[in-house]
Amino acid sequence: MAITRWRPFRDLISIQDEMNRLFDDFFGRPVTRPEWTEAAWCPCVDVSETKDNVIINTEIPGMSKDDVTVSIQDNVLTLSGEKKQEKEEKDANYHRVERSYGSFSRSFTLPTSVQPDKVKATYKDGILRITLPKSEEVKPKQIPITVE
Amino acid sequence: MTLIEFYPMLRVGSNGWEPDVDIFETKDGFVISAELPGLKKEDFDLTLDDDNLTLEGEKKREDKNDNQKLGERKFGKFSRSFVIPDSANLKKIRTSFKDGLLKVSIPKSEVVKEREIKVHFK
Repeated sequence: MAITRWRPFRDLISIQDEMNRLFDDFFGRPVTRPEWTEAAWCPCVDVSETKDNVIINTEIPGMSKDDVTVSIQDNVLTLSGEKKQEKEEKDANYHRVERSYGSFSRSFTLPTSVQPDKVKATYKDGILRITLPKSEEVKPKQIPITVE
Repeated sequence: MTLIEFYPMLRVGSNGWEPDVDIFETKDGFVISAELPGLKKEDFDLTLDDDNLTLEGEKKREDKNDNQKLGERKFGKFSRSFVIPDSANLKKIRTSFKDGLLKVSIPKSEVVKEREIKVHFK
């Protein structure tokens, strides 16, 4: 079972863009990825699979639970939110700005084999963890061997 | 007020990941905010040696044996050092750590604040 990023414009990304991305990845931190161009900032996401669940871990440091929403519609899971710069910091004299701020939205097509009504999301230490339980049919089953 | 540049001196040990940092200065002091998503208090140290403030630690994967489908997050050991300007009051450094964001507040010493002199032109 595979969970894949939903990239509606995938076919429009030219080979040149992919080459640029390779160069960026190799020579330094990519500022924007082709599929990110609509957003100023996008959180890093890991997707992994265990025996029972598909787990999505997203890094949203400094954001509170209320700044992010997780929704599921038509088998598409969408993470969206806004990382805001604190008000008092706006008037300050900045010496260094490496953190990124702004709105983001990312969507993932769910494999049909998860149970959308049993999805759980928890937030701790800047990591949003979404647990998608697999449906019973796709879980690995042990088949007992009988000796005759 | 003295205009001392507050700058990172070393960027070592960055084999893949190091925290993103914002540094700003107000009338009263300096604030460093560092993004440490997924780290716990015991995963990093903040040490002050003379006028060098060092933030170092390790960002570890929470799930080690998983079958990964997409991996954008980066992990590893990091160390970043910052030179604290003379105007800072090192005895009054305060830190807070919440939702993966470390904030270090360094007030300016009173002496420095008083040193501000207005110059009048005739």
